[in-house]
Amino acid sequence: MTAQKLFGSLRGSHIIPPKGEETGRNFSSDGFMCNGDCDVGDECYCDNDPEE
Amino acid sequence: MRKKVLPKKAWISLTGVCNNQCKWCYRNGNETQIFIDYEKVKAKIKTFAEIGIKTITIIGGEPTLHPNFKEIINEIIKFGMTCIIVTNGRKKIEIPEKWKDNPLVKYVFSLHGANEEHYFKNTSSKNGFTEMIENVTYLKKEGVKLSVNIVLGKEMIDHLDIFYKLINKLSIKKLNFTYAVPSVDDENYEAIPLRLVELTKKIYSDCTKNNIKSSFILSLPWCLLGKDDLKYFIENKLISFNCPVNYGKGFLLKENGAIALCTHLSNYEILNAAKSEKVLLNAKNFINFWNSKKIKELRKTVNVYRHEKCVKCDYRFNCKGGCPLWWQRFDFGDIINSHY
Repeated sequence: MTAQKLFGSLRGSHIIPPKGEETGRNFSSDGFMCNGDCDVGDECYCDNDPEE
Repeated sequence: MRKKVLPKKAWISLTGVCNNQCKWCYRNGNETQIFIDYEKVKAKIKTFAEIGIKTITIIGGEPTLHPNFKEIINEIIKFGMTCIIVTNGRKKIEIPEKWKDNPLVKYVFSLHGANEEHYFKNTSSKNGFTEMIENVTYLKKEGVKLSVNIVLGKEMIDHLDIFYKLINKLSIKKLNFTYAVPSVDDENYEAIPLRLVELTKKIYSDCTKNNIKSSFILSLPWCLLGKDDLKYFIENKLISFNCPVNYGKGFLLKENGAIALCTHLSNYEILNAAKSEKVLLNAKNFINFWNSKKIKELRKTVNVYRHEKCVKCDYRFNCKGGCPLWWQRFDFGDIINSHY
C-alpha cells in the first residue's frame, strides 16, 4: 500500500480544511501559539526548557 | 504566486539495527538492518542546510550504533543546524568537547524501564537499565543538553511511581511523555489510547507532587481530555502536538537512502533510494520535488480533519485530530460527539 492510499483510507479524509487554512498559519484567536516543531526534543512553547 | 513549501526539519534514521527490542516499537516489522552510507549522508546534510532545514533529529534503530555516529552529528552542527539525538542511551559515547554546553546538540533519552527487571521485560536487554543510567549520569556530568522521555503505553503505566523516584534520584527536573502510537505494520500491539488520555491528568499531578515538571506530546485528539482538563493543560502549556507532515514541514531520510513522510511511516517510501539520490543532489531539485503535483496531492490527503467538529475547533491547527495513524485502528468519533 502507498502512503497516499493509507491516508486516503483513514476516517475524515473527506473533511478538507476551509480555503485559506491549508497552511495552518492562522492560529487560534486566544493567542495559543505553537511554532510547529512539537516533536521530542524540539524547541516548542511548552518545551522551551527541554533541558532538565 | 504561491510560496514554495519548504521543510524546516528532517529526521535521519542512521540504521534500523537496534540493541533493544521494545514491545511498542513503531518500526516493529519494518526495520532495515543496514547503516546509512556515511559519504552519501554527508552530501545530503549539505543539501539539507541549503534547503533551509533548521533541525535534524537523529533516530534509528539505535543511532549510536552507527560507526560514524559522531562524524554525522559533527557534520550537522557544522552547518549550524540543531541536532537532536533520540537514543536509548545504552551505548557509551565519549562526548567531544564541542558538544559540551552546545545548544546545537541535544540528547533525548528514552526511558524504557523503571528498573532492571522492568527494562528487561520491555526490551529483552539484560543490562540495558544499568547502561542507560550510567550514560545519563555521564552526559549530565559532561554538560550535554539532555531531556528524558517516557513512551506511555500499557507496559509503563503500572511503573510510573518507580519512574518518578528514579528521576528524582538522577536529579532530573523534567519528564516528557509521548503516547505509544501503534506500528502501522504490526497489528499485534495492543494500544490503549483512551486509558492513556484518562491517566494524563493523574500523571501530571503525580509529577508535580514529586517536584518534576512534565510535558505531554499528545498525539491523540486533544478534546479526549475533556473540556476542563484541556483548558487547564493548554493554559499551563503542558501539551503540544503539531504534526509537521500536514504542512510539509518535515520528512524522513531512511537508512537505505529513501525518503518517507515521517518516522512512523518508514515503510511507506515516497521516493526510493535511487530517485532520492538525484532529488537530494541539490536544494533546487529537492524543492521542486517537495512542491511537485504528486507530493502536493499527498499532503492534501494528509492535511484533513478527522472529525466534523475539528473544523471549528480553536486548536485545529495544532491537534488536527491527533496523529492520523491512531485513526487507522480507532474511531474516536462517538467520544468526540459525546464530549462536545
